[in-house]
This record gives sequence, C-alpha cells and structure tokens, in this order.
Amino acid sequence: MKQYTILTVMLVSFLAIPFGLGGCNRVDLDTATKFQEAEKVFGNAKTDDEYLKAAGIYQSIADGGVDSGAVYYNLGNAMMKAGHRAEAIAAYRKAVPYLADDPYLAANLRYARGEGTVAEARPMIEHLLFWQNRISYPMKVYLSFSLAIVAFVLGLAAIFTQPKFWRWAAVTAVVATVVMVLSTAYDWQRFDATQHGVITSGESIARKGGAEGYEPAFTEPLANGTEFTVIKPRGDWLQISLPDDKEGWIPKKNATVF
Amino acid sequence: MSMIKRYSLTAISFLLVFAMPGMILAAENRPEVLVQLDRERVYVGEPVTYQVILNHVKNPTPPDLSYLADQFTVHMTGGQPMNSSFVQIINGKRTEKIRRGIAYFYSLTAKSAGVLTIPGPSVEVDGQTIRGQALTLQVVPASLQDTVKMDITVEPAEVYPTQPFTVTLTVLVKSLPEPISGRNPLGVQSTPPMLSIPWVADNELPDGVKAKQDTRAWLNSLHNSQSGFGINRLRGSSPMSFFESRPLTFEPSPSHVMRKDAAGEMVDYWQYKFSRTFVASRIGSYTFGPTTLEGEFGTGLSGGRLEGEEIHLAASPIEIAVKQVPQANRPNGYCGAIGSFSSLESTLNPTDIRVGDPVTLTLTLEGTGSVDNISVPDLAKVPAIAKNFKTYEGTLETKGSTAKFVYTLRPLDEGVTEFPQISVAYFNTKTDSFATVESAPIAIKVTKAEKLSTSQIVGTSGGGRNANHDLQLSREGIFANKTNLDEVHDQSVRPEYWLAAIGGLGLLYLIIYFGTRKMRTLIQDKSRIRRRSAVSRARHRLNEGTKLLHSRKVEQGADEIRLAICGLLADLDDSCESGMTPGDARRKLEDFELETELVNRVGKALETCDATRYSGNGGADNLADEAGSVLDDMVHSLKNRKLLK
Repeated sequence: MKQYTILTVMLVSFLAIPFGLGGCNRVDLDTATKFQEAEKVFGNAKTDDEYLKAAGIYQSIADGGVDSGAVYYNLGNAMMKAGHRAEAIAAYRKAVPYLADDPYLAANLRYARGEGTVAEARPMIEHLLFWQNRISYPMKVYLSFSLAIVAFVLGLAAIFTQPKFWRWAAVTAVVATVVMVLSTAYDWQRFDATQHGVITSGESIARKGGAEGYEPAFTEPLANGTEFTVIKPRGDWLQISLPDDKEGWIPKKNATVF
Repeated sequence: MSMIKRYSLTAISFLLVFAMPGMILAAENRPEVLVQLDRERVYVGEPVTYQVILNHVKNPTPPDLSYLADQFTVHMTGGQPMNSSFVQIINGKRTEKIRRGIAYFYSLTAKSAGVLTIPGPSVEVDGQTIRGQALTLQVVPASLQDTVKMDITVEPAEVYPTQPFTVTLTVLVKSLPEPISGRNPLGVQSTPPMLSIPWVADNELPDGVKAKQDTRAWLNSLHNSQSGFGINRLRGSSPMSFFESRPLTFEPSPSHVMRKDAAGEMVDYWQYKFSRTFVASRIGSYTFGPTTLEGEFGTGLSGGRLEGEEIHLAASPIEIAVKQVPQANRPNGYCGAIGSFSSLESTLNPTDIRVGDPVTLTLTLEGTGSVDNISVPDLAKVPAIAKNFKTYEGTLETKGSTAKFVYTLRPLDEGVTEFPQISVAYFNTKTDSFATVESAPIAIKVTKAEKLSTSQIVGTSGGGRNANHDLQLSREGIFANKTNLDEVHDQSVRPEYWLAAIGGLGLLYLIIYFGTRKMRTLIQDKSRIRRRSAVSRARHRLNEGTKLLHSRKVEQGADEIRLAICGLLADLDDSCESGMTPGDARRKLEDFELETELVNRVGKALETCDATRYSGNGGADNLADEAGSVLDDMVHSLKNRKLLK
C-alpha cells in the first residue's frame, strides 16, 4: 500500500512538470497592450484600411515571436474584414496547430474558403489517430512527454516491485507514448516541416518551370485564395503542389507562404 | 607704470588675442553673393550654366533674374546646398574659404550675339542689399548657312498625365555636291559633328518626366559605328587601342526631303530624326531644348577635293503642356485610364455556385493609352452587383496599356442567373471627352447553401431555443475575435527538445534497468560471494585455530588452521574444502601460478597441520605462526595476481 502511495505521488509530480512548463510562457505587458490596442482598432474599424491597421498590429505581435492561435485567429478575422480573403485563409491556417479543436476557427476558415459544409478529404492516418484534429500540436507534445514520464515511473515500479501489474501498466504506457509521439511527429510533418502557401494575387498563372518563358501548367490561372504546399523555392519562384497533387511553378510575389 | 595703465594694457592684449580671430572669422563669414559661368564663349541659342551661390546668407531664397530677360532666356535648373571649406596657400599666405549656403543653377540662352554683360544678382540680407559680381559672356553668332538645319518638335503638343508624347530633334543636312551627292553627308568627316541634346541622360530630365526607353537602350538603337553625329561628347573605347577612346556616333535611319536652299532652289536634304518618347506624371509645362550642333560639313568640291564648312547651330527649345483630365462631366465610374480603350472583357470562375461561395471575377481593359494612374473600380457602387453579391476589394495588374482587375465576390441569393454587365469610364484623348466600355453579362447558376447542424457550431448558445433544430448557415460574417488575454501566449513548440527529453528518459530507464540486472546478478553469485569473503573466513579460522592450540586443543586447532588454508583455496575456485590433501592444495596453487617457494611452504604447513593433529603436540608451538605467515603471503600473492580483491 505504501508503494502505491509513493508511486502515485511521483506520477502526479512528474505529470505536473510539462503542463507547468506549458503554462509558463505568458506574454509580456507590451504584447498584452498591443493585443488590446488591436482589439480596440478592430472594434472601431469601419473601413478596409482600419481593419488592415488592426491586422498590422496583430501581425506585429506575431512577428515579435508570439506564436499564438488567438493572435493568428484575430489576424485572420481582420484580414477577412478588410477583404483580403487569401491572407485571412493563411492566418487562419497558421492558427490551426494551436486551436485544433476550436469550432469558431473551423467555421471562419470554412467561410473564408467558401466551402460551405463540405468536409475535406482526410488522410487515413487522421482516421487512425482520431484525436489528431481535436488536440492541438503543443498539447500533443506535452502529452507525449507526460506519457513518457508515466511509462518511465511505471517501468521503474516494474523493476523494483514484484507484482506483474506494474509490468503490464508500463508496457501499456510505453505503447501509448509511442502512439502519441507518432501523432506529434505527424503534426510536426504537416505544420513545421511542410511549407504551405496561399495565392494572394488576383490570379496567378502556374507555369511548367520557374520562369515567365515556360508554358502555363494548367488551362486556367490559379485563383486568389488557392491553397498549396511548397515543394521547393528557386529564386523568385516556388514549385508548388495543389491538393489534387497537380504541380506547377508560380512567382513568389503572388503568394504568401507559411 | 601706474596700476590703471597696466590694467589697460592687459585688457588691450586680451582683446587682441581673443577678439581678433573672432573679427577675422566674422569677416570671413559675412554674407556674399558669388556667381560664375561654366563657359565664357557660346553660340547664339546655346545655353550656358549660370551659378549663383548665396554664401553665409540665412534663409536664402532663389534670386530673381528677371532683369536678364531682355538678353537671355532664363530657366532655373535647380539648387544645391553647399557646406565646404578649403585652404589655399599661395606664396606662404594661407587663405581659408568657407562655403555655407545654397548654389542656384540657371540656364541662360543668349538671344543675340556679342559680348554680353551679366549684371550680378542682388539679395537682401538683414536690410542690406548685397550684389554679386558682373560677368561677361561672348556670344558668337550662329552660322548663316543653308547646309544644315535643325529644329525640335513635340507630338502631341498637349497631353494628359501619363499620356506618352514624343520629342523629335530633326537635323537636315544638304546633300554633298555632284558627283558624290549619293554619299551620306555624315560619312565624310574625320571628326563627327557634335550634337548637344539635353534630354539624353535620364537623370537630367525635368522632374515628373520619364522616358519610355532608358538612355542606354535609346542610344543603342541609334548607334552607328561607321558614321553619324556625336551626342553630348559621349566616348567609347577605340578598337585600335586599349588606352584611347573615340567619340561614339549615332545616326537614325536617314530619309530624303526636298526643300528650298538660300538661293530659293529645291535641293535634296538628308533628314535625321532623333525621336524619344516620354511620359509626364505631373501637370505643368515642360521645356525640351535648346540643342546645339557644331561640326564640319561638306559644301563643295575643289580640284576633286571636298571642301568643308565649320558650322555652329542651335535649335530653339520647345514646350509641352501637360493638362489635367477635365473635372467637368467626369463620370462616377471613371477609372483613371487615358487613351482609347476598345474592350472590357469579364470572366467569372466558377459559374455554378452556392450562396456564400467565393467566385473570382476578372475584368480586362484593353486598348491603347495609359493605365499608369488607373484605380480599381468599386463594384459595391454598381447597384446591380451590390444587390446580389457581397464584393471585396479587387486587385490590379497592368501590362503595357492593358489593365486587369480581379475581384472576389460571394452571391447573396439563390436563383441569380446572370452576372450583370459592368461599365468602366476612361478619358478618350482622341475625342477629348470621357467614354465608356462595357463588359458582357455572364450566365451563372446560384443554388441554395448547405445547412450547418448545431453540433457543428460548438461553443455557441448550446441549449438555446434552436438546440434541437438545424440552423441555416449564415451567408455572411465570421465568428468574433478572441479577446481573453489568457489565450494570448506563445504556443510555439520546439519538438526537438521534447523529443530529446523523451529519449533521455528512455536512456535513463535502460541504464537503470541494466544496472539493476547486473547488480542482481552479482548479488546472487554464490561463488563470487564465497571468493569475496575467503580471506576474512581464512583469518577467522586461523584465529580460532590459534586459540584452540593455545588452549591445548591441538587436534581441533590443527584442523582449523588446515581449514583456514584449504578453505581459502577452495573458496577461490568454488570447490569443496573437505578432503583437500596437501597435494591437492599444491596443484591448486600451481594452477594459480604462485611462486614455487610459497607452494612448498603451503604444502609444508599443511603437512605440519596433519602431523600435529595425528602426533598430538608435534610442531604445534610454531604451527600458528607459520600458518599465519603462509596465509599472509598467500593472500598477498593471490591479490597480486588479481585472484583476490
């Protein structure tokens, strides 16, 4: 009984570490003031320029090193209000890793994309890891580490105590840790390792190579708001892949990349 | 010397030492008007640069040179602040000249020949009038000849901002005399005739005027290495020498015109036209010219040799007026395009949509003219569009005289079947009035929006009165901003650190796991435990044996001592100690590679033990000491061989 008590205390203490670390990075006073100023400008805005001014303040917060879902979400709203739909899509998508389960973000992104309620096709891994789009990327990282700590403590218990219960518990915790690490790695791959982009110019002709001299890659130009992933940049051009795997080259100036 | 006199002298000395430099400095910094000409001799019509420096004048304003209007055409060409000083030492005399003020530049073009005096300009400084020095300029009359004619024209004479206009310098050169009249009159000079054209260098163009083609490209199109005019004394490297340069020559494709010469006869002239197109972005009047030409031209043949005449010529400047597009009758849909535009094409993509879906509208305005000042038409002001579509700000792309506007729209109502025609107004320079181009209407299909169930609107008014009903998807708007400051924090993650931490935990676990296993193995190894306690057990037995011998229990004492030695050997290789004979002990020691002498001593000690046990007291007195010594040596030797720790 004494062993169980000690292990429980250890477990809870260790679990508190990552959550404690996650909560430590509160913003400074300057950022909070800027955020409130942006809110004020946004609230009083009546023209596109005024909404753009609010967007500029949100952008300056993000440029100051604060990667916050709320800031990107509000930036998207300001861009949307200013009539910059493509930039709004980019901002909303930047918020997705941090506000994965936020219904308002999903609704606003859907509205910006103009997709109505038509669901996007999800890859198989997102069906297997059913929580993938319900838990934020940072939370997955914290959960991975917490589960690793749980597995570690249970593993120690399995070494130093006789009951087989601890061994099975440790194995279960290790499996859970591995799955959560895979889930985090998937987020890393799609959010951090892959560069995404949105066409921000009115239209952009995708070409078969990285120069104006190449023939158009598609029969129609890419419309404003078209989303893509960057395969590779070359000079002033980007080789891009569209959601249906079609590839082409567009001028960098015609898109925003994140 | 009285006290007063001494003080007076001291005061005067101080004044001389400290006040004199100040007085000199004040004299050097007094306001003055300095003037200079870049040349002392010019031809009629050829401009000269007149520089007026207002030195040490506070709050200077450009001096008024209108008093020169009788003799010169005056144009102010700019100003430049001056802040310099330099020291001159001539024959040991040091002079420091300081320039603090503004230099104003004027272009003076003499209206008549002769030695002209340019009176110095005057300025008012602190109520005093300061006048600059008068200068003289020798103006040489232009050649009275009919060999070369030159003039400047501009087409059209009036333009609107961003509307292109062309300035042409036409040079007519009389054909060479027979029989060489067919030869190019510019191909016979050893030194090319030199033109001075003020609108060649892009950085010397008037403010607000820009050439359509940059200087290099324009000159390249005129360059002719065989013959032609020099322009502005531009030089290029000589093909004959690395170190010499020669005047670059430029020659537009010549044409022939017939015109009357000084004798009134129709004569063939070679015509060279230097045309350059410009665009003015600001309203105003701009002057191009004057231009000058100097060089030798062929005029006749004497004894088979071509005779030439040195000619100096100037062409009067020409002005172009850039007018404002009229405000009167300006339609609401005026987009800023100037020229003649024939079509406004519109495309909508996609055309089969639902309410609220974004569609891209592309409008392309095509024609001839300027779209530099064009602005994106506001579709929200078109009632037919605003009624059925939510509009967003459009983007603009221009290429040549084509403008492309791209908009995002969202249909507001289902059942809309046609996207209305759009009108764009522009200013037609041919008719000097506003005109309109219209796009064709586009057939579209707008269907009803999908519905969004309440379960998909998480976080809204949950159990409200609509909880059990489907809500109609709002076709407008976005959900509100996040305003809670607790939500604003840096959420960036460094997965590599967390992964390293998880890996570290795994590694730590493996270390603990294998360490524990090793410890357990060691703890449970009986032979190892026996070996580790062998020495203490042997000493304990030796002590016991010694005590027994001292208490006259010889038999038991000898047995204990024997067991002390044999037990040590048995513990080392985890064998049985009972029944070990001296011979067995010797073999073990030899296996352990101990010294022969020690082996013999051990064997002898064991034999003594046996002898003592069976003989009663034989050798018992020394047995304990001898056995103790042998045991110590054994332990020492075994430790040396790392068999014992």
